[in-house]
Amino acid sequence: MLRIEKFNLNIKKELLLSIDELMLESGRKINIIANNNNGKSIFLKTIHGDFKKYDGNISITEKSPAIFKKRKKSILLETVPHLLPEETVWNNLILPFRNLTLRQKQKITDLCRTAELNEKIDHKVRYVSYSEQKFLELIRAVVQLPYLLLLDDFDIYFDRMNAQKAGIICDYAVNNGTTIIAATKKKIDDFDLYYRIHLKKLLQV
Amino acid sequence: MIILVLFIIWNSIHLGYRYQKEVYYAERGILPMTLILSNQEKIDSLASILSNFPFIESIITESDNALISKLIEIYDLEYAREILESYHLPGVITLYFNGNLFDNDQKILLENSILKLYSGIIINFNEEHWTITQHKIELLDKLYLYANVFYVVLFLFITIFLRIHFEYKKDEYWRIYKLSGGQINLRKRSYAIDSSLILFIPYLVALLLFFLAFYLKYLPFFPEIRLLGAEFVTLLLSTVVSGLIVGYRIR
Repeated sequence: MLRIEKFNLNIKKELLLSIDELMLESGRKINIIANNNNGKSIFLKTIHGDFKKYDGNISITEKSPAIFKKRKKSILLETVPHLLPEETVWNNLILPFRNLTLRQKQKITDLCRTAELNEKIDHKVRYVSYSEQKFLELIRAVVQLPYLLLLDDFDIYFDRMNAQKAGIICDYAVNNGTTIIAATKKKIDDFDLYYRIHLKKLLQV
Repeated sequence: MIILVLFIIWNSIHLGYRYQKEVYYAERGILPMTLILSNQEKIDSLASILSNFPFIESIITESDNALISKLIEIYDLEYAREILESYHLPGVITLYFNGNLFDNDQKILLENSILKLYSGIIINFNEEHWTITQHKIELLDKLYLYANVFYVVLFLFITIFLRIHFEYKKDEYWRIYKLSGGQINLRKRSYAIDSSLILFIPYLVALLLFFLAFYLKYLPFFPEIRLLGAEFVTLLLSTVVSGLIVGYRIR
């Protein structure tokens, strides 16, 4: 469960975002909608642990803490893809796995097929398109089944068609207990919960 | 590989030095010292005393009778035997030294001891050749010392620089790896494993190569243990310094 209480995010002593209480169960898809400069990216970074200058409490807890020994707490996909451009698509896909299981390998292959990335598996990343790079990042993150998957600017790199494919890919993780938080400018379909940042407050729509 | 090559060069310096020093020691050892005594009776007692000096390898004594026989034999003077035997020739002791042990201090000690025992003795020694050889040995020692100091600095510079260079080159990989969801501690573990491999593999391979060359008699000597120890300590120092410099990146 992701629990956020009495949360205040200040940038240069100016309040950017405030949350009284937010509790998210595992296996949910949450869409946070906000315009530019409303703090949605910093909010995701804060949940991920990359930004620590905030007041309040953010905790990711489970009844059995041992779950975090096997699963990463969170993976953040920022707007800019983080890939090794001189390596192949496949090498980038398996980068975080030290011991890739047969099941993970099969799952990566299946998801690549969904994203229509399977034909470019041996291509160097620098030669594939931006949206394909984002698919690559998404598949890589999804197969790890983190507790939280944070997607920044989800609507920028996926058009309607690709967003559907991305939704299918995300469902694999959601069905295995991952909570997905996607920050967008516009509302996107097929999410469980919608929140909007309005007047520096996070409000459920 | 680079460290292995550096070790091979370094050990070659040690072996080259030792080989050259052995040559100079041999040069020093072949110089005999001749002692000429007028008193025949003292030859044996003096030879007995001198045999106690560990740096004297062999002693050859020659009495006047032996000298006369030698002269007659060499110069075919059989017809003059009676004349020769009427002369009282001095006794001669020839000393041959172990070049490794017989240095300047030992030489002074020997000469003082002889003159103290028999003040009238004549010491015949090729001082000029001895001085030149001693000078060569001193120069070789100095060169060896400077070469080692220079090499240690060069070795540290190359190994530390390369380690930092390769670690910086890996920065982007590890950044992406971390962002992709990889284990945070893996870089630290990978660095520790790399350090252990760099520390032991080239060193042990170099040792093995030199041991094989020595065992198969391609080399007359094996590098001294204390020098091999110093090489290992230098590599260890390089690893520690590199670790301190790049430490904050691998946390």
